Amino acid sequence: MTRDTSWRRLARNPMAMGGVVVLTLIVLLALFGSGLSVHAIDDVFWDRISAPPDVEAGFYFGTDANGRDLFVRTVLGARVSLLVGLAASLISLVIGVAYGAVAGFWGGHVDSVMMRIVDILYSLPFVFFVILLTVYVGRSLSTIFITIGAVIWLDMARIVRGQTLALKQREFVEAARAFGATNRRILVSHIIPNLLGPVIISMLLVIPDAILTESFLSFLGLGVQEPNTSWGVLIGEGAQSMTEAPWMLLFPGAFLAVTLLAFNFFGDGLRDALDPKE
Amino acid sequence: MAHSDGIGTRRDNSLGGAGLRAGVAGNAGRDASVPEGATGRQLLDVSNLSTRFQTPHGVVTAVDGVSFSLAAGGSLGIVGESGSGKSQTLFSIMGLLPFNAEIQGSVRFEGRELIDLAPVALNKLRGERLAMVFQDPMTALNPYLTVERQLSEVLQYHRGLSRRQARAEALLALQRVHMPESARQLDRYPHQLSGGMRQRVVIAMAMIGSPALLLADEPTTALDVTIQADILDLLAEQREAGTAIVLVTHDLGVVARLCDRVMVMYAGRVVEEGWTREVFSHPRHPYTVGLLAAIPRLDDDLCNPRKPIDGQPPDLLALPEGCAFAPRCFCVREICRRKSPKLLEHDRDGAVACYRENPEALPS
Repeated sequence: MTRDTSWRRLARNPMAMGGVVVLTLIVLLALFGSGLSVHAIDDVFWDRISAPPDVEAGFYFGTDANGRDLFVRTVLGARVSLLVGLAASLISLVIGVAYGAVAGFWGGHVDSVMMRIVDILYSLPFVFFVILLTVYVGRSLSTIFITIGAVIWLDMARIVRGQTLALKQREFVEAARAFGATNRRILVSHIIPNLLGPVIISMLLVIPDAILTESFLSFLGLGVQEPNTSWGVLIGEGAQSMTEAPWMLLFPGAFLAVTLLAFNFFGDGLRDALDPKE
Repeated sequence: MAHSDGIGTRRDNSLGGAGLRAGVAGNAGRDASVPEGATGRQLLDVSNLSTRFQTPHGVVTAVDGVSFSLAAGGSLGIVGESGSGKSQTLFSIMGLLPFNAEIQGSVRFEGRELIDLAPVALNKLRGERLAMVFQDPMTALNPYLTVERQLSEVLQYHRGLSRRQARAEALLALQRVHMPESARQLDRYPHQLSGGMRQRVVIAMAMIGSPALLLADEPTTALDVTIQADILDLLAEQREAGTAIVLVTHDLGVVARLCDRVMVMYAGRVVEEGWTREVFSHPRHPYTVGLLAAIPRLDDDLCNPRKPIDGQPPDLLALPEGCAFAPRCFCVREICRRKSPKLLEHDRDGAVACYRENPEALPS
């Protein structure tokens, strides 16, 4: 009943629907876009190093410093970046929300211990942590997910804990208790629905964070290996040759920016649709 | 009234400060003074209830040796100024105290001791046998749940009803509280309802399990005067249907309308108790006299406005020795400042804690 009205509200929001359309296009491009290109990801053209876009020859976005087609690299790089962003937001949604809600709701010693664990994970030097993981897990795409997953939910846990501390003082929580609700029931039916606003916002903030962290890890030689690539890697390379070959930064950068914007429009719409007061 | 032998304050308990400290350590004191058979008939039996809060500034005794009992279908009003401990008495009965609270004494409901009852057993009673109506319907409802969900939540805590059954029950509950266009309200959110309608939803939530006892914490304070009358009628209807009511309010008019008995609290203690008519027509405690004198009336002389009670309610962290009301009392005696008067029975089936009324209590 209520879910139906939420979806209807979402469908009536043009900004949110625009975001959905753009995201769908980008996902489709990531999955099937390489078919639009006449070149393969590892084709090297020695006569076209750092060449500007040339539509007639099939180099829609130009080439990179190694003479490879930027279009096919941007399109395929989207796979890794989108996957990392999605995984990061899911991890912070599931682990961060559950962890923060439990800590805030139980309070007292449970809260102290749980939040000290978060503090410890926060204060671990990230690079050291990455090297440690590489030693034990090895270099692969999954290392990236584990590394990002291990730290990305910390912010969410803190935000959710703070919100829960405030929410559990509200009178309707007391009322639910007075009507015989168990702790679990209060958490599921009363606390978590009221957390949606801040949770959706921080979930969206996590996506660019994760995509950029991935590029940093790839730069260190973890995760994505040549000739595969990601938006983060492409942006990093593009930034180095920004003055002589601006298209190398422009195209992957624009894709990242448009994706994030679309996520934000969608997230705002989702939050408004789920909030009955809107 | 049908509830003529309904309620009575037990007068055998010492409510003085010294007596309290001696007697609160458990049920031992209570059992010695009250025959088991006498308590068995009561729906609610509160005895020597004390609630203290550990605060950074010291220990606050919010409820100090309160005793009363209520029979099935009875109605009791608890009145007093802000901070007199009337709401905390209700929260203590419901077991809804914050972690820094310490509770002593006994609360027997349907023959079971509620204090130190296991959470699982307490959750079973709450909402089924024992329910509460909150002061502010703006905040007592979850803004993210529809009216139907609010009501069916309560049903799901206690009975595993299907969605459709729960919806039917929720509709019935709304009809019982005379919600206009009940079926349409089911799918609305709290912010789409007026204050009076929200309070109807809260009462419907409280009544959906047909509880034996309804605790109401200032149920009309946050509402318009016209809506107040409707809500009071609604509560009276629940009482007529056999639900006992404990109503906390600072509005004496509400008590006069709804309650057979009234209990006046000051600084956490009961200072006067009796039949509502008797207390209102012949108040005995100077504080009750002051409360009644402070009510504005239509025939008031506008040039001579009514006098409120002088002074401020006492600071619970620094209660005066002796009677807590002594600093504001118009007939204070020397003894009042030294020794707190006990709550003693009088011949009109009530009790009062004042040396003026009970000269025999004066130490010789």
